[in-house]
Amino acid sequence: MDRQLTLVVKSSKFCNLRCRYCYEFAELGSRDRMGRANLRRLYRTVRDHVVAADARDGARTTVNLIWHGGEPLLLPPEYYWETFADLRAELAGVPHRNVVQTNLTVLDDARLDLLRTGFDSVGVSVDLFGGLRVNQAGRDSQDRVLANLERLRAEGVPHGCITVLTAANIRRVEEIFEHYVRTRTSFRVLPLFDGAFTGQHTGYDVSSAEIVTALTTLFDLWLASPAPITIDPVTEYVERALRYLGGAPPRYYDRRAWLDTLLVDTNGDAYAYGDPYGEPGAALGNVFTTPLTDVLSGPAFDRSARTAETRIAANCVGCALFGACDGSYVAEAEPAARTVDPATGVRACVVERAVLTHITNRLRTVPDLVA
Amino acid sequence: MTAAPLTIGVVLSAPIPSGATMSSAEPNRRYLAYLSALALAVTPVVLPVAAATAAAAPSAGASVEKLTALRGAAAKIAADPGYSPARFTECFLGPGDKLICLG
Repeated sequence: MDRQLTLVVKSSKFCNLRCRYCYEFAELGSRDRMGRANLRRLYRTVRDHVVAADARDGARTTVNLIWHGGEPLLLPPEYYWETFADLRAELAGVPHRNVVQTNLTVLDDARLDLLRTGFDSVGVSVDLFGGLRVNQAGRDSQDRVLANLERLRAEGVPHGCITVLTAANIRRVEEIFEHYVRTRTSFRVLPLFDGAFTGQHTGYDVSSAEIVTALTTLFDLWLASPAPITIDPVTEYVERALRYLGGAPPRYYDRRAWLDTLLVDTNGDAYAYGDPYGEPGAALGNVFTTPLTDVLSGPAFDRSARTAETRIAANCVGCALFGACDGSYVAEAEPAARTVDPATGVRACVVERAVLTHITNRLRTVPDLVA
Repeated sequence: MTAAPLTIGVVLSAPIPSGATMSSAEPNRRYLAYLSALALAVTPVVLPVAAATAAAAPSAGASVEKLTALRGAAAKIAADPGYSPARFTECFLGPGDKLICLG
């Protein structure tokens, strides 16, 4: 069995942009960074955790490091070359990949070389419409980013894009889709989910109904188009719909068996995706000071896992899609991305179930799709 | 196999999924039993009306290319129930179309 362990590594929060909706807004001026020694500690504890787990259950784990910020490419390229050398040494024998999530506003020759030969892939944040990704002077960064994307394409650097859906662009998903078809770029849409302070999203916020409409529209466009691109999470939903229609054996998300995504803050505090990132007491533990295996079996993890399981129990048990959908959406989605059931205070699976239902009902009409 | 039509906006109260494919590994059964017991102890979530927007009519047909890809993916899943396109290395359209990134 192959599986993934994905670490979202906040190497530094420092950023040259001040995107209006950024959930790191308060820390974008901080020049704190993960030090080389702490990163080595992280690699060692990840290796120990993965090697022990694989030996125990016979699985083969690939470790994905998503270098994240802030703007991770504001750090000098040497920072990454040095830590990549450490990573190769510490994770020798463990498959691993390095991906960077960047605003792509800074792309000199040294960074282009880093993207081409150092990272395995590149994610670029660009919203295409709305003008919310601005610098400190309030100037839109998009023209420069699109020009740098052209340079990535010309240089053959593998990349995808993330487009945050806000009130400023959510009604333009057809144009967004057409742009990515034209440039043959796979992309992810990320509905606006959290803010750094109360009222930050005033004027930009989107409702669950708007998100459902956007995602179902994107699915319909994708289905009708011959373009060989993927749209996350839409194409992930398609896989689950196929499992449902084909009667595939059920799979259930069990965080205690394997937590596949961990966010590591600049100071080493680690969070599951379903937990309130950055809130005092919400961290599972600190992976610079505590073995990862201990972090993933301690009391904070137990509390967090129980809360995630409660969300699955309240939403998924009894849902016709459960089993084809493993429940990970409600278990691990960001807290503020969820509509909360006012009666219970539990996050509700509104968007995913609605979109999955739409996709399933559409695919049901395709002849000879499943035996 | 044809699955039952889906409904939306339902109150989630059934203790166990109604699917007939529960004959998977023992840990799966134990875990589901645990979740089912947990479900009895919590109030089921009621989905808000907003979910009904998913019933909107499709706006266009399907391309030959996507139908081919979908049939290929369905066949892969049928042949290998453990098949799961890995987010970072493969998508179901093929290894050439990588999709990266978390938010």
